[in-house]
Amino acid sequence: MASHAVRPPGSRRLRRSARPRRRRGRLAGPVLGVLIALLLAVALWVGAELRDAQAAADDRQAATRAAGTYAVHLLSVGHRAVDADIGRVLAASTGRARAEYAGTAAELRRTTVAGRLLRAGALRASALVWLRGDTARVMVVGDEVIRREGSSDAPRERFHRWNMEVTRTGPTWLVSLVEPVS
Amino acid sequence: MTGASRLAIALMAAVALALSGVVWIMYADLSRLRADERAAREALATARAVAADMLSYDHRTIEQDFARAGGYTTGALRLHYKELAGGVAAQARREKAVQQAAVTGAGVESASGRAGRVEVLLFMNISTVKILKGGKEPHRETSRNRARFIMIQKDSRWLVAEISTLLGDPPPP
Repeated sequence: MASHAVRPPGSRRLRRSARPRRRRGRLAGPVLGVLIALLLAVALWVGAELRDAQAAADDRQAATRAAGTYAVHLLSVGHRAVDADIGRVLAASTGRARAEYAGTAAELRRTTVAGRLLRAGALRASALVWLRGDTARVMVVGDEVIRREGSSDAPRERFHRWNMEVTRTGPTWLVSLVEPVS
Repeated sequence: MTGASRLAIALMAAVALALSGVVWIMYADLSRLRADERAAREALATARAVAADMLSYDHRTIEQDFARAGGYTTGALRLHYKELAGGVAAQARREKAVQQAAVTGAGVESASGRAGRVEVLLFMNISTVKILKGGKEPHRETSRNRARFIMIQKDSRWLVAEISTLLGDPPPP
């Protein structure tokens, strides 16, 4: 009873209201811990999904670009640097595409040098048809102008449509199949 | 509650907040990539489905053919189609022309789901039968074409906003 007498007025109410606050303080730690664990799990899941989606987008872009670059190399062979030009085409290809081009390279070299030909290629468009794992199919449109150095003949223009297959070879994408679309 | 536990809770709250931010940024990025993929898929399917219809006509039904084709377009191309219909219709009737387009290939050049814009490359074979001036027998010709369709999303529908034949300046020697 005496203690009641010395307690300042309103102190009981204060102590009562401090209790839930203390309880809340005790709860905050575990709640935040669970929240962090949940957020970490979501971050890991979203991160994995994002990594896969970004890798697929990068692959689509790289495969399409590889086919476009190959087309320009294919159409840009001139007598001035014929070996380097042919080498560029071979370096950008693999498998059947490389074997077929290599098979015709000697004849191409001969006619290009003998005719003093200059072929200039331009990429008009390249588009992805599908991408499955390490292989992609790309549609390519390219134009070329062929002229004979020193000749007054009008240059010839040719238009090309191809379906190309591109294969991931190590870190790069190389053209593995070239099908002209007639 | 001691000062140390208050500090620990403040730190945990900061970590939770930072994690929320990271998750939000990653999710936004993932949504963008998925939207691009979805846009590419939908626009490609639409372009493939409408391209042949847009470039085919029969002199007997040419008004309906062009009206139907115009329904797949938007913006300046819609107006252009109306003008084209007027000019081409008279000539097509005169020549008894029938044009049939067939899509032989289609692929995606670029896609942006957020912008609602996809560029589709199409390989098309177009065959035309018509009676040339002074002739009596039908003349048949087939051309192998390439075209870029620029697809725009409007009210969840993909429409053709531009058609390019991809003919440019010849490459420099």
